[in-house]
Amino acid sequence: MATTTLHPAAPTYRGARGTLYEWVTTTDHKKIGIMYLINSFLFFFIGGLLALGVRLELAQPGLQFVTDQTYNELFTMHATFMIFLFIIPILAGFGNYVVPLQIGAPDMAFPRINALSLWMLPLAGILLLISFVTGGSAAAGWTSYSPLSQDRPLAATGSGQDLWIVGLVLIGTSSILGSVNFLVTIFKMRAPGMTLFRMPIMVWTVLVTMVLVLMATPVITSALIMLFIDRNYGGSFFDPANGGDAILYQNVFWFYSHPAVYVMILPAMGMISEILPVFSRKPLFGFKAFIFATAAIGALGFSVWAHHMFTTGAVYLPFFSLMTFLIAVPTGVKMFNWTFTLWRGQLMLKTPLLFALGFLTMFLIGGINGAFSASVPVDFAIHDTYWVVAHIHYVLFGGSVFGVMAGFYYWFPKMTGRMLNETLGRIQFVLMFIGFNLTFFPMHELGLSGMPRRIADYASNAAWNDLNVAATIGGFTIALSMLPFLWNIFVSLRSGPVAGDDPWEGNTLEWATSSPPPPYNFDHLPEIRSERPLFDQRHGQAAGH
Amino acid sequence: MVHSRGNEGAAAINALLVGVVHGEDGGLAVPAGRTVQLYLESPDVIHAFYVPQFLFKRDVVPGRINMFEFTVNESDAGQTFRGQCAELCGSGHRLMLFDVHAMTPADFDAWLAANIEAANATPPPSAPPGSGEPPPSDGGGQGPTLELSALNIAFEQTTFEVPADTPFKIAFENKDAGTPHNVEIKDAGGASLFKGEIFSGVDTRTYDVPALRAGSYPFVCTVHPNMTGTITAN
Repeated sequence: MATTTLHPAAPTYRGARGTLYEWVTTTDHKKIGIMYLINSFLFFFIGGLLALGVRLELAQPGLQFVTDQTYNELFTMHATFMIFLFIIPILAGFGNYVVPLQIGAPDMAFPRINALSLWMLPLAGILLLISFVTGGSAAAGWTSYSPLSQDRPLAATGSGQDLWIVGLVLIGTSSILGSVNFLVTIFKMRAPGMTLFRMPIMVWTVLVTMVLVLMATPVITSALIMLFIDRNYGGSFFDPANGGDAILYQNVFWFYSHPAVYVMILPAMGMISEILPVFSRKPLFGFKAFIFATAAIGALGFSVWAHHMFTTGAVYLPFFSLMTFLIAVPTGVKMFNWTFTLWRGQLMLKTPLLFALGFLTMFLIGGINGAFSASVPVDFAIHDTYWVVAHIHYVLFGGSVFGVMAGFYYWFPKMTGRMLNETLGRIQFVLMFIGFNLTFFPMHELGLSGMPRRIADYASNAAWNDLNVAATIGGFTIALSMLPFLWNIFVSLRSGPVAGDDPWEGNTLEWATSSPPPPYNFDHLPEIRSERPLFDQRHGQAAGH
Repeated sequence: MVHSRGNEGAAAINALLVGVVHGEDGGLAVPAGRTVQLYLESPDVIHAFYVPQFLFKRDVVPGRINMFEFTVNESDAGQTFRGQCAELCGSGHRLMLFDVHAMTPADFDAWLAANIEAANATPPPSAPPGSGEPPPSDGGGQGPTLELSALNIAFEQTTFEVPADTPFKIAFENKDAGTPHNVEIKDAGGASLFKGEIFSGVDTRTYDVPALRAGSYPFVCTVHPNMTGTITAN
């Protein structure tokens, strides 16, 4: 058996930086993963700026800064960029970087398709950005309900809505290609000894996520194409004025968009499941239960879509309400398992763990306020109000974004060979945590007292003024927290402490190679006899299972 | 039994009803203590009928008729409940406000009877009953004919001058296909002086506007109150 010896001058991140040409033409999953992260963070900042525009306008009653039409564009594109160009791709990007390493593979199954999936994203992003200057972007909400999104003056007069549709079809195609890539990689390229039940939870969550992506994304692609035909070729799928059905659009749209929210959270849950055991110095509590809970969430996730449509009068309410309550069960299993992982652990309160704790507490709130909405009579009151805005941001920001930050601080050393600064990380965490809660917690009360979503302005005598001011201050605090974040990356890349192979004493295979890994990933692999091959190697053979 | 239609604009929930069941100022009048059936229809996009104090909303979906029943407690007679559209419906979404006036059953019956009588008595004018203007006649107004058009939920001309104390006409072209517009002229205090018939584009109607005293009068589209302009009478 030939062994490859790593050259003593094996490149650190700086050396492996390569030329621009190498980065643009690479098929290496590690470089592609990093570029996914860069592109996604770019759109996180753009989406964040749009949110600041929304919060600026809503801080006080009266239309101070933007017109109604522009306001509608702001929140439409804020959500569009955040969902389709930030959260979904960044989790795919982490998956891209981490999954082949964690299963002991040298790369993804289809490296060139991997590159194609990546490059479709900035292209789609450019199309969406162009729409701002070609007559206005889409302005019918990211949900783009028909007939508002049809070709009529009420929502958008220019080509913005059409560019939006094309951009999303491109992004969806990128996702579908990626899902096939991941599924083949995970099923066919695991190292010897890595049975499915020994795969890290991160890989399991990516697996289930990619099943959801593969099954659901074509559905929204079809809705988008049908909408495009309605708008441009005289179609009448969704426009009642031409014999179409407005509710049909919602059903097709939400059949994808509900599983999409699990696409947006499951890999983040996987990251948390990697971080908590390492930083508690304890095995993950209920490893197998995690696997089954993840699969259950994935399956149940296809049965709840119409809970977004309770008020349409066109939904069989008891079924969808029941299934929505049911999904809380596997989610609750995960919450308990994470908590018991921490319980009596030797906690290393480094930045990854701080963000993981932020995830647990904030996602808990988001899960609970979502459970309220599962009850039909409650939903009749709070649907389309700021309660829902609170819910979505507690799960997407409190959940996914905190998870992304945790994962970023955790794997940055592996990707770059440098440690991020702990002090700056803590400053970022504190600012982000405070800013986030200040922004979104008041929205529970705003929703309960009747403030609808998607309004550019509100009555000055509705008693909503103070809560809106608080939310705006919180929003700018979140923006402020980005400064220590960016500064941290900048200084750490230049002169952060060298990380070494395994700075956190991790359990999984990515820590069994250099930081950053060589192009072929592993010089040699440790024996794989459990879900913690590196722990086993460090402490002697553990009982295999 | 109340038949109500959702449409864009604050007072427009008022606008399409068959004259009988409007509230005084653009709201919905209902008898407390009795079950009210509300039928929701939309001529354009999806809206939502939402009254926060009812803890309830229901979508108003074009191409389907949603119906729900509600009963305001007898003890709440005399109260007005604030309502607002809760489904994004375009650039006028934040302005789509309405009120639900709960009356005692006796007051409601009296009000209903009075409205039915008024609707039967006068021939259908181009303005709602009680505005006090004479019915239009050919070759009416000695004043000018203002050329006004609406496109993309905005008036294309926003300032006009007319001679004071002279009736005049507005030749109003609605260029927005399938979208209802009108012209409503208010005084400085916001009271409605003239409300032209709401009609959907693409179409043209001519309104006969009664004389205005010297002064400045804002005009607005009842359906889309973000469409505004000013008429100055000299």
